[in-house]
Amino acid sequence: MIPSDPRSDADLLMAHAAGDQNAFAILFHRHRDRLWAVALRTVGDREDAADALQEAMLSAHRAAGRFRGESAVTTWLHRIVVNACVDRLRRRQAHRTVPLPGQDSTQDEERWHTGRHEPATPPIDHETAMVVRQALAQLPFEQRASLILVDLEGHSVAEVAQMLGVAEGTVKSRCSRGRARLATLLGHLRNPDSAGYVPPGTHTASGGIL
Amino acid sequence: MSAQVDHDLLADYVGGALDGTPEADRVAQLIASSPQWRSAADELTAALRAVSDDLGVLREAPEIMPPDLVTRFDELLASPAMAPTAARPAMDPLAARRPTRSTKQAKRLRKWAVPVAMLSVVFGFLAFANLFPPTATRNESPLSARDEAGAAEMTDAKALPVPTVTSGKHHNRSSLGGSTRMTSESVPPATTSKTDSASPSPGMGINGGIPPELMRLTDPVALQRCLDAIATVLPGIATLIDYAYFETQPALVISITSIGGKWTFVAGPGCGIKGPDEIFRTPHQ
Repeated sequence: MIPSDPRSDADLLMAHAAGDQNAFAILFHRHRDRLWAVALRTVGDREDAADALQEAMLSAHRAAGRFRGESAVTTWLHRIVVNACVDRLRRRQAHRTVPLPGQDSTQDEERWHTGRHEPATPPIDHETAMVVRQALAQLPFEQRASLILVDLEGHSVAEVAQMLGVAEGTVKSRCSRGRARLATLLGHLRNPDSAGYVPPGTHTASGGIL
Repeated sequence: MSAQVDHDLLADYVGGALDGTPEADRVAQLIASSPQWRSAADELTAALRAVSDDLGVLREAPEIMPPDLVTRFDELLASPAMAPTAARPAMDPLAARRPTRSTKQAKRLRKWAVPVAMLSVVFGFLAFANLFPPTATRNESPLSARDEAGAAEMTDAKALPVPTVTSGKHHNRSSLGGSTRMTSESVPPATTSKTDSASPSPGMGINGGIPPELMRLTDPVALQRCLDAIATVLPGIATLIDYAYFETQPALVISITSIGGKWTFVAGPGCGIKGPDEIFRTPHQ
């Protein structure tokens, strides 16, 4: 158990770069669950998310001395995590040895927690959350990463543009198109590519993605 | 006026991605004049409200790292490899616990292959600086090609440059200074290259050219998979990668610093596809 530490994120990063044995671990524990959520939601697979987060933390550990404080430490960490996730997704797509998120939604959901200890959660609409999670996993990963950071993590478009190294307009477009695609996947909008309507709200009844 | 709806463009407009651009005016005009565009815009606007509600549900659903992963990360952060000072030999934190390599253990080992490989960066540069004089031309690792301009402090964390060279040399067992671990796939000594030991091929020197069979391994993804595969059989730090030959075969000749010392590992063109595609390995003398 790592005790709380009064130092700021930036101070912890500087302390780590200066040789403090515990500073990086304290910093990681402070943001662990949020970074984990980003990795899990972006990659859509529990083991891949863990590996991506591990790669990201090693990168951050190594690069801490080059952090110049031009952005918040959390922004910096998020960027490293998202980049590690996107790299992993690209690798997965290139090799096609593992189904992409959304190719088998049942397996995706199983892989999400794979029978591990489910964390205690407050009362929420688990079914809707599961369905939205599955729909999110079907988006192209650039759209998914932008949506997760803006709509789920609450970062500004400018911050996300900085994290992803793209223009703000690109982030806006990715979010807009991602939301529109989600609308179709979640049954709130007819599929533009099909002749018929997808009845709104059917996902909550069937528990599946249309 | 009637026009086929461009749903991506409409999504950009409704989402505000076109704000302040001439395209926004054009789409606004289409919505005003085309029943199809107007209907599609109305439907999308309503649907996006529902999507916002759905995302709100997911936003409230906590994603807490499972306990087994918490343990894994705690172990990683406590491992010697994660000590703040980078100028120490990398260690495989699980080596002491690995008497045999069962499937389960091999899987755990793979978990550490990535961190060990990534920590190779620091040592790679140090070793490379010693191995090659500053005037020697060398290739930048393809792994650094992904770096993007700007936001330097952020891209710094992304780069994974393992030094590479294209010496074109024909290495053999004696030139690499060892005689151990010749694998069954390797060429027997009797068929050793007719060229002099560790001599460059005609027309090939530093940066002279990459054997065609190794071109796949210039791709950063393929190279990383190769290094990951090697790390499963020889955990350590890749400090230099040479696109060269080993006893007539195109091969990556890789210098690796492991917990047990320095090694030269020779991998064939199938590295990363057929595991590490090991041809030969030898400790440094």
